[in-house]
Amino acid sequence: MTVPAYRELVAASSRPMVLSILAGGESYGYQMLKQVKLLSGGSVDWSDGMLYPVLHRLERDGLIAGRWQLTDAGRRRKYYRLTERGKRQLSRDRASWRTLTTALEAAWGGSHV
Amino acid sequence: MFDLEAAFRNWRMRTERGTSLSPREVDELEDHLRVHVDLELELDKALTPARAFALARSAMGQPKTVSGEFAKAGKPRWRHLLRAGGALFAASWFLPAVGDATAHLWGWEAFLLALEWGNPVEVLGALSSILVPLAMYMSGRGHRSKLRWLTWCVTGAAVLNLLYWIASGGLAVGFWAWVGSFICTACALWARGREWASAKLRPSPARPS
Repeated sequence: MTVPAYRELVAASSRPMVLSILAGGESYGYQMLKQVKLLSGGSVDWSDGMLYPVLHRLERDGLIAGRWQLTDAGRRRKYYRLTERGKRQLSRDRASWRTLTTALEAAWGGSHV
Repeated sequence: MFDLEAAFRNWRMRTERGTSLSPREVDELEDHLRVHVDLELELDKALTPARAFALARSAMGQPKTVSGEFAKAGKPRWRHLLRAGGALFAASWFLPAVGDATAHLWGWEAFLLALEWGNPVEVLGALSSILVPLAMYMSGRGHRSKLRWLTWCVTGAAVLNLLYWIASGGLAVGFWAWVGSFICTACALWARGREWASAKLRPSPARPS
């Protein structure tokens, strides 16, 4: 059984999560939400309204860049991609999270607590 | 009979009127809502459009809550500029606008004097003061065409006031705060205009929606 992640942890991991998803290629809000759910096996379920402020903050910080495109259905949709600055931030985030998870695994002695 | 397009239009209208979200932000949320509704209808053929819309709208949350999340994520730069303009404008009334340390006119005195005794250009300059609070009032509301006019008016007033009064000399800190408020407000409105501006659109490459 999967345990829902704590809200604080979900919020803290939102930046590396978005950057990691965009490292795989351009994407848009709804697609990213579905991908987060898929990657976490359903245990991380971002609320729809939570993602967009995060995306706009990352865009303002220059970590991702957005551009509007017309979909095949003729609708306007904003696609995001990772910037060079975002790539550098992602590698720093990845190192930090690995350090944390390694420390926690060591503290738990490899047992499933 | 439930009209899905009317429901989207209604949602959009209420979101634009009831929150401080920019039209571009509402565009993005609307696209999200539409994708969600399409997917719900595709996954469950028995679902009515009304129910699919209700599900998507509920997953999105209350527009005010979403707007609050945007606010927490940080204000766009134009809002800071607008606030700086407002602060300079307020300060300019209570600072010496003309004169020196021994004899000077406070900002509000200079304003009244220009209105009462000034030539038409000076009266116009004094009256243009209304533009700054007007811009602060209107920038948070969705009057796109009016905001465009206001942007040009504030920019014109900033340039004219600066050029006219500099030539007359004897200016003090209150005057610079007053002109600074026009410049900050004009910059804020231009930045705001960039948010409104149509994005460059190009057809999307084939991708799942």
